[in-house]
Amino acid sequence: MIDRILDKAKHAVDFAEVYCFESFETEVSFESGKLKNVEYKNLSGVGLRVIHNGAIGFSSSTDPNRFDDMVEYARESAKFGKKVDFEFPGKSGFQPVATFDSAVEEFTSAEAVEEGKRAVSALRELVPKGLTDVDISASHGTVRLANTSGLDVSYRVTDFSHSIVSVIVDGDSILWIGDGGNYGNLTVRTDDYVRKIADLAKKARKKAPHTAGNLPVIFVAEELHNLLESIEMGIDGKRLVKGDSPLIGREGERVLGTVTLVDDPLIDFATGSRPFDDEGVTSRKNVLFENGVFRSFLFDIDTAAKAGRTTTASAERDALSMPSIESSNIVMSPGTSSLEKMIGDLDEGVVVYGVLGGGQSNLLAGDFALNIMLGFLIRKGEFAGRLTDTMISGNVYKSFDTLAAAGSEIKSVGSQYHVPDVLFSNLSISSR
Amino acid sequence: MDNIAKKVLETIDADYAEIRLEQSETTGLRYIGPELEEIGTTFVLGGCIRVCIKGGWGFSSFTDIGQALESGAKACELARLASGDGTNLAPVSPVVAHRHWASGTDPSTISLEEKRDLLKSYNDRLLSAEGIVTAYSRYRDIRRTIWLYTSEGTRITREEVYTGVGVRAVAKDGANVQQGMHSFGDQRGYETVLNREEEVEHIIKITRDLIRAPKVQGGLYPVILNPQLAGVFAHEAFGHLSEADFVYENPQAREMMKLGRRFGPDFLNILDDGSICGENGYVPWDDEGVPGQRTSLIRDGVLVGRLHSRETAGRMEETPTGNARALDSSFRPIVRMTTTFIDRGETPLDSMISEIKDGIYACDFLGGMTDLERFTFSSAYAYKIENGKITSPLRDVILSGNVFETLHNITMIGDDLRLYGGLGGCGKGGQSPLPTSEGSPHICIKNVLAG
Repeated sequence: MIDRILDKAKHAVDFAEVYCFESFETEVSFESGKLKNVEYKNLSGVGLRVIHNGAIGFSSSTDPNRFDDMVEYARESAKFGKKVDFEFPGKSGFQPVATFDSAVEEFTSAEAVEEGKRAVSALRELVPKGLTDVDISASHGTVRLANTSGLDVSYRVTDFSHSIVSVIVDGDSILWIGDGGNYGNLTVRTDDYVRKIADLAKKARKKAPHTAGNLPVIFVAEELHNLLESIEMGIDGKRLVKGDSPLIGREGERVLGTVTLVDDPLIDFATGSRPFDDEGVTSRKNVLFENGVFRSFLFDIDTAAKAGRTTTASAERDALSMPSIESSNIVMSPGTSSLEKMIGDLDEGVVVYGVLGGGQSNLLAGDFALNIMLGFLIRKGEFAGRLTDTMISGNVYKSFDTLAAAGSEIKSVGSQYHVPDVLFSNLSISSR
Repeated sequence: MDNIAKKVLETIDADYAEIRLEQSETTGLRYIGPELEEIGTTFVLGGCIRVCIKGGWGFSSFTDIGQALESGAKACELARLASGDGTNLAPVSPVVAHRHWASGTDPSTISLEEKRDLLKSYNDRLLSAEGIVTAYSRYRDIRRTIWLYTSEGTRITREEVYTGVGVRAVAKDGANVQQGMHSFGDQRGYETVLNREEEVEHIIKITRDLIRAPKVQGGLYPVILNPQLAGVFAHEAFGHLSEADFVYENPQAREMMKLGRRFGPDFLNILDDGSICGENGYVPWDDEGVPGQRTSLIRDGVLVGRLHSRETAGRMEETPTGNARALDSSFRPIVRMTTTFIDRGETPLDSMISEIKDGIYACDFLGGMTDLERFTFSSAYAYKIENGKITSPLRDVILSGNVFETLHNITMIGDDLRLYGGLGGCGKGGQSPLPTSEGSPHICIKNVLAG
């Protein structure tokens, strides 16, 4: 059908690009220790981007009966669309990167149910006060991209995500302790997740005294994305073109302590990996910050043309929307320490395992204010109780100036982050 | 659609089955700076089948309607895998109804050019203002038809039409970047997005104030929330806690949320109402075919109700409230809010302000979140209150607290109830943004942690 749309578009508009995605997903969910819901989704969609008389137009659909209309709608919208000075790229090269694992495709809902049951019964033993929610999903799909410049490429992807949460309600206290992972290959780590949840639940039993002031704070790798999101907004080439990134004019300047951050779409089985971006440009590694020095914004074809740069292959989209600039996998260089050592070396400080309120502050300026959902006071290298009603606030860019240590192990966390556990020597903590 | 549904339901052997089909057309436009970066139309056709066998749910969704029969068989297979201790859905009367949307001007009758011109006029207003470096303006309308059929005889066809605009202005002073933003949107038709020039001008003023404003000094304050922010407070600090899916399988949570428990002062009333026509949260029937309705959650400070799906109501032996909602046909319905608000009180805003010596007037919202015990939400802009008067602007006012304490700390409720929709919505269980409305009069809360 992609060929039918492209064929029709060829006669109606100057240039056309068709993006098609089809996915099959199996998902199993347990609520309060009970298997409640098993799902299977087969979804597909097609997005058509056109350039007609020098302007961009767009239309998309999941409805095969509308595929013919799409060309008309896209052409109509190009009457009002932005004038552009680029063309869709022709044939491009593949970068070899593993994005598909047949074990995920073959993973059945019955197997997912067994994994879920294992987690529930293990946690019933280890955290008897808690009730367990488990969510396991396995999906596989195909991305295909073709355009009137002769590009016609596709690749297959798999995604496996697993989350386990113990919910402990005690009086008016509600505590969520969770762990999980998101990978391109089949990565079943039930035992690791259960062990970590049980360990944190044990540590959370004791309450910490109220703590405030400027203190050393350890962010475990899983929570570092709360700070990195601001930086990802700052490096968006669209914001360079539009004039509202705080990083404008600062390439070559030290702005992020001594941190090295790389955008790397070529890590096997990482969820942000791809052989080419969603405009068909061959994937490449982009150094964003090198020892704290800002090196590059991320661009798609359009913003690169506007800024007089080259695209960094950072266009990302789903079938129903136009591409925008997104990082692929964000990789931070490791340090030489470890979480255990950083905690052990703290005289007085805080370790953060979960926050509430990420993404609500003035992210663009780098400001953050996070309510600690699961975090502990550390005294003389020991866990001294769980913090409640405590907030951490500051500015991301300034905070990285106080980065004092990082773990030697890079952890794959969330959907696209490959980062170590880190210690900031001085963040502002307030409490009531 | 009738024929497909009939065929599918005939082949299913289960305690309960439903098929939901959906067709939608979405038009979106987006300016970033002076350029129209996005413009286009999206068509969605899709469906899902949900089946309950011995208390276990099987769900299967598709975008190719030709797969409906196969998908029904799949849902049964999955439900058998999940089956457990028995199906217990609260009984409801089957509904046979066909509801056209007829609340205003259908945006699909307006030309793309006219929509573009309207959005451009708002965007140009922002861009031409002194001190504004760039602007973001977004328009979206969605026209959606939903067909719901259940094995119990419910047959509902209903239309939803949303129209909305969001605007954002950015001011920049070196690395200091500040944004003022506002959105308006509901199910009242194209009229909703017209004649909003004053609000757009207000955004310019806010943005200019913010770039000069100091950060709030962290600490405990008496805080007056404007109706929009107080509505978000009602949604985050209490609404989510009243969703029965958190409670129904958890004995400790049931104890905590026992009806009759006092949650706040006796002048506090919080409601959820899916029957307010035209609101974002208007749900004539939810996605299980239960009529949208007014549910008192807190009456005179006391917990009197909660939000249910048929399953949570069945298991708790309470009555369904019409709050089982799905984002679209690729998702199963889960317990969600509709239009959630704090009811009108008696204190005029002026006398509220005059009683505060050193406090904060916090307005509109950037975002909010809750883990049910704690909440945090951020105001879009704020002012100091000094000696009974609103004085200078403040930025980055983020309020957080404990749900159970903070509701008791409400000291005054205003007489100026307003409801808000907008372009955003609520997120839960991976389904976001679901259109909801929130509202309140001005309210005053003591001892709020602002940072």
